[in-house]
Amino acid sequence: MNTTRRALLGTALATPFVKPLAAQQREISVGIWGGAQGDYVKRQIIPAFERDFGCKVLPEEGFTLANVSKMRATKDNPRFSVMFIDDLAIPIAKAEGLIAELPWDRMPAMANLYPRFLYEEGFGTALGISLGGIFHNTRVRPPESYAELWEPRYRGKLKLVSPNNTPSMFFLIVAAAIETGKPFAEAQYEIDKAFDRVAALRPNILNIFGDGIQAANEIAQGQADIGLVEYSKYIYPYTNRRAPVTMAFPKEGSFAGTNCQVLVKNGPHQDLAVAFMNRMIEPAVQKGLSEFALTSPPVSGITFAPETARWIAYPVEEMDKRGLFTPDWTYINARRAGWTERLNRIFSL
Amino acid sequence: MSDRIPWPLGLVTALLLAIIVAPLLVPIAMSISDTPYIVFPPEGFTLEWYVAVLTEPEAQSALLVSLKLAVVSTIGAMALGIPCAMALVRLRFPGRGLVQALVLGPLVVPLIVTGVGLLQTFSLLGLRGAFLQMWIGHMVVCIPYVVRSVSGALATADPTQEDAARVLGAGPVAVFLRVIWPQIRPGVAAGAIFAFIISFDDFAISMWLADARSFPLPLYLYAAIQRFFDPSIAALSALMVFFALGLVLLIEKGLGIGVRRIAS
Repeated sequence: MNTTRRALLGTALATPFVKPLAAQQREISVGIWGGAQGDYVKRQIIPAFERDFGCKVLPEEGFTLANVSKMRATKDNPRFSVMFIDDLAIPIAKAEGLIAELPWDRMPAMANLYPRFLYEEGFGTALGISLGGIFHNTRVRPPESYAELWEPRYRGKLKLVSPNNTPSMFFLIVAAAIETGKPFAEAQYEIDKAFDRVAALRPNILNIFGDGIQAANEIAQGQADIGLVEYSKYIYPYTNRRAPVTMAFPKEGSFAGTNCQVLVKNGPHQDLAVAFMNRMIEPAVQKGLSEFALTSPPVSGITFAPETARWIAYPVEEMDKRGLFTPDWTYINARRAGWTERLNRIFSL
Repeated sequence: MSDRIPWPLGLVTALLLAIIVAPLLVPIAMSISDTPYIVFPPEGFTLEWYVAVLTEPEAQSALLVSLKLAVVSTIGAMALGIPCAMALVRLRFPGRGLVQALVLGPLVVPLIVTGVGLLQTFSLLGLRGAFLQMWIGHMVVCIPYVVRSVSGALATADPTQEDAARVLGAGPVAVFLRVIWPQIRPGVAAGAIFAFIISFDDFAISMWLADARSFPLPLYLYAAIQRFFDPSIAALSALMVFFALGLVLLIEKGLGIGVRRIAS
C-alpha cells in the first residue's frame, strides 16, 4: 500500500518535469495581453490556428513593458516567436534589435492593413485600436472639456491613472493642452510647462489606479465619479453588460491606444510565427476580435452590426472624424522616465 | 499573578486583528453578491460565482500547478536548507559569513530583479521547461526561510547532548534522528510552512518564468482580475483565504504541530 502511495506521489510530482507527447509537435510561444482581447485570442483564434497548422501555440499573458523585458532577457536565446506590445514600444524594440522585419510576401493579409497601422517601416502591425478618454459612473454628467476637471466641484472625486501606465502620458498631454491652449499634436512637445497644472489637480484626486478594470469597477460602485485616462477596451465590455460605467471624450479630442504584434528576432519557428501574425490580421479574425473586445480593427473591408459599431471608431475615416490622436512616441519615450518620476513626486503622499 | 490580559493591550490587539482580518472578510462578502459586477456591501445572495470559478478549467489547472510547485519547492528547499543551516551553525570554516550572506541574499534583493536575472540565466544556459525553471526559482527564494528558521532552532539546541550521544556510541544518523531532530522539529516545520506559502503565493518570480503550460494560481488571479468584472474574482480570493485557513488547521490538528509554538 505504501509503495503504491509513494509511486502515485512520485508520478504526480514528476509529471510537470516530463515533456508531454503533444510537445513533440512544433510549437511557438506568443506573448499576448490579458483582458477580453487575451481571452478571445486564447479561446478562439489559437485553437483554430493550431487545427489548421497542426502545431501548438503557447499563449503567455502579459503587458507591454514586461513583454519587452522578457524579449531583452532572452535576446540571445529567444523563447518567444511573436510578441504583442503597444505601438509605443515598437521603436524601442527595433532599436535594441529585439524584433525582425515582417516578410510581406508571406503575409497576404497585409494587403488589407491600413498603411498608418504598419510601424517602423514594416517591423510591426496594429491588432486593435482602443479609444483613450475618461470613464465615469453613468449617474454623473461627464465634463465637456478636460479643463473642467480642475474645478473645485470635483474635489476628491477623481481617480487618476498610475504614472507607471502608458495612459498617464495622455494625461500629461491633456494637462499641456489645457496649460498652453494648443491642440494635442502641439501640446505634446510642451509637457515640461504643464507640471504646475498637473500639481493643481492633486486636491481633486481621490486615489491613483494601476488596473483599469478594477478602477472601472470602483467607479461603477460610486467610490469616485470619474477616472482618467483609460482605454475603451477596459471599459466598454462592461458598459455593454449594463454595468453603470461608460466613457466620455471631452472636446479636446481622444487618444488612440494601439495594440500591436511584432516578430521576435531569431525566435523559434519563424514560419509558424509569420503565419500566426498573418492570421491575426485576417478580416474574419479581426471582426470576431473587435466584436468581442470592442476594439477597432486596423484592416479595411469589415462590416459591423450596429450593436458593435456604436462602441468602436471604424473605418479609418471615422477615426479621423473623432480626432483620434497618436502621440509622437519616439519623443515621449526619450523623456518618459523623467516625467514619470515627476508625476510620482507630485502624487506620492 | 493574574493571567488576564490588561485591557489596553486587549484593545490594541483587537484593533490590530480587525485591521488584519477585515480586508480578508471583504472579498468573502463580495463573493456572494447576486450582481453582475462587484459591489460592497453585497446585494442578494448567490454561490454561483464559486461554481463558476471551481468549474473553470484554467483555474483548476492553475491551482494544480501551484500546489505541485509549492510541494516540490518546499521539499527541495528543505533538502538543501537543513544541511546548509546545520553547516552554518555547527561548523566554523573560511568564508562562512559570505556563504550566509549569499544564501540569505534573496531576502534582500527585490524578487522582481531575482526573477528577471533567473530568466536571463536560464536563457543563456539554454534551459527550457517553465516548471523546472520555476522550481529552481522558488527554491532560491524559499531556502533562506528554511535556513533562518532551522538555524534559529539549532542555535537554541544544546550541542553537548550531541557530544554525549556520540560518546555513548550513537552514529551520525542516530544523533540526528534521536537528538537533533526532536529539538529542531518546530524550526523545520516553520521553515516548511514558510517555504510552502512563499512558493504558493509567489508572483514576482513566476511572472518571468511561467508559460502557458505551467501557469500558477497567482498569475491566473492577476489575469482573471483583468478579465472578470463579476464577483467570481472575489470568490477566487475567498477560496484562497479558506485554503490558507485550512492549511493552518491541518497543521494544527492533523500534524499536531502548534502554530502558536512555531510562531513563538
